[in-house]
Amino acid sequence: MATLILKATEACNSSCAYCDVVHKPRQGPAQMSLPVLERVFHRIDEFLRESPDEELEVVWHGGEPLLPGPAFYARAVELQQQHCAETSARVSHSVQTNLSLFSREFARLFRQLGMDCIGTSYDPIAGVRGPGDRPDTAAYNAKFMRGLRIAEEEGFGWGVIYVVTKLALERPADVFYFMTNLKLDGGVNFHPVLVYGPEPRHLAITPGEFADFLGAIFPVWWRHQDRYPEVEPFRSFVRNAREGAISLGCGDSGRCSHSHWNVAPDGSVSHCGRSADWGLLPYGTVFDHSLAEMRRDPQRQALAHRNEVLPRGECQGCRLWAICHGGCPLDAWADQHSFDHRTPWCQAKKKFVEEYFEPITGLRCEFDAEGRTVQPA
Amino acid sequence: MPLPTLVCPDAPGLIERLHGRTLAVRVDEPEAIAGAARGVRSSDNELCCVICDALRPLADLDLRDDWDGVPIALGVPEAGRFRDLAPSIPRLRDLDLRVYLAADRPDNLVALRLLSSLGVPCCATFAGGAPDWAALTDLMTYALLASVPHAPIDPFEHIADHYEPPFATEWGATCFADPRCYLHLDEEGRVALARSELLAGVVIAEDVADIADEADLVSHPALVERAVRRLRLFEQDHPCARCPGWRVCLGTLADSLDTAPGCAAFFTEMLDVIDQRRDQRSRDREPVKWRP
Amino acid sequence: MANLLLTNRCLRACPYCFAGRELEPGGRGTSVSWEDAVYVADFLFRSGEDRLALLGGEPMLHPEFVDLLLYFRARGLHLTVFTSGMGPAATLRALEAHLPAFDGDTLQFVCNLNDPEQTPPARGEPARVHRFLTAFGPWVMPAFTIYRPDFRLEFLFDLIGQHGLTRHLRLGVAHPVPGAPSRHVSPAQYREIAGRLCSYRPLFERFRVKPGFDCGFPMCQFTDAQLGWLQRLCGEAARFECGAAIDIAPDMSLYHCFPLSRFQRRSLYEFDTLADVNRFYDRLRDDLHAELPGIFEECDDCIQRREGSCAGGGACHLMSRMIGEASVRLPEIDRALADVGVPGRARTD
Ligand SMILES: C[S@@+](CC[C@H](N)C(=O)[O-])C[C@H]1O[C@@H](n2cnc3c(N)ncnc32)[C@H](O)[C@@H]1O
Ligand code: SF4
Ligand code: SF4
Ligand code: SF4
Ligand code: SF4
Ligand code: SF4
Repeated sequence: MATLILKATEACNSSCAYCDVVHKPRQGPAQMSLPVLERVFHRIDEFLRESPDEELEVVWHGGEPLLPGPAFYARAVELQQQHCAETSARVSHSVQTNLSLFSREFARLFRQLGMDCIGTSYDPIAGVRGPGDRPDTAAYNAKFMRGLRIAEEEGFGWGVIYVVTKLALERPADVFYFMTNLKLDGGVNFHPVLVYGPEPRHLAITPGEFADFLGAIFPVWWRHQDRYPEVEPFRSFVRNAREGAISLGCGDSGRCSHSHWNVAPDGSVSHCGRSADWGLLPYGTVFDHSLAEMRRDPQRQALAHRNEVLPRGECQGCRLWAICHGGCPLDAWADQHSFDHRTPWCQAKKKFVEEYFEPITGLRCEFDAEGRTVQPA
Repeated sequence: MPLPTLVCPDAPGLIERLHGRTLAVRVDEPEAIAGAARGVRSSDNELCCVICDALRPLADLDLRDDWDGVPIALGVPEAGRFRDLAPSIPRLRDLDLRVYLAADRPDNLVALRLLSSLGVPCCATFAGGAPDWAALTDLMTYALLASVPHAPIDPFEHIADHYEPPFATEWGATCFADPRCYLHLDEEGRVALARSELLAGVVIAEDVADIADEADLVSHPALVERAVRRLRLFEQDHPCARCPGWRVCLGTLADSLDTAPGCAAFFTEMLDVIDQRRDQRSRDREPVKWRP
Repeated sequence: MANLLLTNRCLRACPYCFAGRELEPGGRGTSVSWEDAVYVADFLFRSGEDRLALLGGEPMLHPEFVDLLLYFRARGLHLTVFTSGMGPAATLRALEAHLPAFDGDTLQFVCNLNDPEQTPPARGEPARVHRFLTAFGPWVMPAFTIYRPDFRLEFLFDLIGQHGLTRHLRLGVAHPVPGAPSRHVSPAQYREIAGRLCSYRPLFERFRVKPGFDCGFPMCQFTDAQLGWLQRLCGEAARFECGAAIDIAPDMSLYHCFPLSRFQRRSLYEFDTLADVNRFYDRLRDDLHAELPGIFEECDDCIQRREGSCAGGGACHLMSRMIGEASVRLPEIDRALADVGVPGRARTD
């Protein structure tokens, strides 16, 4: 599906230790202006009219996307009604927020945008998430829980990302139980912390450590899948191993090359949030180009090209290719300053599969070029 | 949400003031049980049960004839010696009664098992003292897995029957401690969410008339606060928040964690035992119930 | 039927006692817990068995003997208590008070009585046994263990008359415990014992007392005339078996019988039903008999053994014999012998 990431703002009311949104130098405005917002909806309508078979997902992102306030979203609701009168049925919305500012007002507006589920992040470990140089976790947690309660009371489903840092390595079980207790019916996603610069060193983990973290909690999940459904990446690994490569995130699909746009607050468009941060893959602005034009941008070839280079090079013969595709191209770029490499997280994937997943489940993770599972003879 | 059952004292003035409610009447003396039941039945309220916390061992109680047909929640400090209890067993089995025993006494854990094995429904209560968790685990395993017919031991039976993974199960109701099921009234009709709160004078309404239907309750700040209290455990990264047994405890024993540690392993084990019980039941025929 | 050993304490020290090795004379011993008592009752229920024998050591020394008895009764079990009669006074009083709970034939005592002259009594024994028999006479079946060929039965007929005991005398011969010293009678003495027993014919008849045999008697050591008399007196043929009810120790371990307590010891928790347990120990006994058919040479081709009317004596004797032999075919037996400390047998564990 076509995915349009909308950076409603690049500012954040928190300053989580591993997040560079508030730490990096910024050019341009922090918050998206209403004219840019209007232009975006205009472009969405234009795109969907031109492509009657397409659907488009708007991902409200940031910074903290709730920071612009309810009025901003009220305007978004109006703009969608105005500009996408005929196409709005093919537009869906999702949001990735820290929930600390969530309110009943937001709930009403998000419902008007057709959302019934909210994406968020959390970490019970003190000092990781929260505002301030040394994150004030207590204050942050209280606001998060308040937002969460409102979301639940308002009938929203939610999913939560847990970013695995060095601090979590000491207590994988605690983290696992905490997150799955907080979100009983699953929707918990474990990600490794991505640290590109020299800081914050104290949080960085190696791919091997991430694999070991997953390996420490995987047996519990595997034994009790009805107790802890929808824990990622475990559930996808199992589904893929059983049914073929069917459950893939953007970084594993090898297909993000033609599906993503990222719109910055000033209206400039890049491939995704990370390419925008690093000044890569600039596709123009919503004022100059249509979404369709930017989707045809030749720079995207560099991403697609990767799918040809890697299977003949670094990923040659890899039995995980169909569920990995060399990982996220931006991760590869961060490591090697070129898209034509696999990511360093390759090692995490292999280690998890070989040392934990396969021995514990007895399932085999091997796929042919079409993504079908290959069982050893 | 149906309106909760009202747990109230056996006060005729109060009961007459209530109409169309379901009442659990609390009496101090076992002798007062039948009278209290009659009182409610002759009002235009429904009788849920009579609750009596007797101060004598079960074996010493006179299981009166007039208890027939009265649902009774009978709390006792201990069961007494089996030799003294034995003559009462058939009668206990025939009555519509559940025996409540505090889990922090080792002899009570034995008594719960004996009563259950003889067909007398019973319930372990957690009043704050430290139970012998290993013995309790053994009892719970017996309660949930023993294939020979025996009467239910709550809250284990309740939890095992209601737990629907991945969701959590509340079991406060087995001892009248879930405000969504039971509200507690004093003689003047003041309403509290828990018996302990009533005794401490923490009321949510000065008069039961203020809680007339569920709308008065769902949004009641005190009830909302209860839900918040649970999230606060997460907020504070309280040990309960990362407890593997959370799904079948929900921090019910959080306040006694310091004095009675060991609950986490117990409730974690219970989850596994419940899984095992489901496997067992899906393999076997219908379990034999003591009562049809 | 199963035997549950409530405790491994005993106040007597009978010279023939085959429980000796399982007993802990001093200290508090091991007593069956309530949890295990419930488990045993459940186990029997599951097995469709409604009889339970309570043994020891001295079962009445279990601190909650009366309570356990009432509990098992409440679980619908018919109970037989094997006792020396030496219960604590308080227990006897409580027992008396609760006797009405046991209607019909739901409770019976088998009291193992020793001849006060041939077997020197333990401290306080005569008084205690007297008190026990006085209180429970009609519930008591007298039992006697023959451990010397010159045994005497007179005192038993006195006691039967005096206390109104059941007119059925349970007779056992003392069996050896492989690898341990305890007084027992050897196969060579059986004929003499049979003769001496039948010499009590006038007393049996006068008091209308029927003898019954516990395990391990060999049929051929009685003459046809003796067997005929026994059958007429008892109204049924005497049985010559090895193995009756398995023993469940206070810690829930299982064995075929006391003499074989170190042979293939298992736990009750390993089995689902009594039938499974019995099958397991039957096979063991069969294995032993396959190795050595019986206690006499004649057992090899004996028609009675083939017909199953005589077991060929006790497996305990066979086992004791094998201790002296060089090698046996069955590795399990070898291992068991090693376990009981027979020199020259390699421990395999
Ligand atoms: C071990 S006792 C336990 C119960 C109780 N103390 C009693 O004496 O009855 C059980 C029975 O085993 C019998 N017995 C003890 N030693 C024996 C042996 N060596 N051979 C055969 N029977 C024996 C006793 O006489 C008694 O009848
Ligand atoms: S696991 Fe490694 S080698 Fe395999 S496809 Fe992914 S990045 Fe390439
Ligand atoms: S079992 Fe104990 S630690 Fe776990 S949730 Fe309940 S009270 Fe908390
Ligand atoms: S035969 Fe019975 S009374 Fe005698 S020592 Fe053995 S257990 Fe005790
Ligand atoms: S089997 Fe042996 S002991 Fe039995 S009757 Fe035959 S010869 Fe005698
Ligand atoms: S081996 Fe047989 S004869 Fe010997 S004591 Fe055991 S059951 Fe009795």
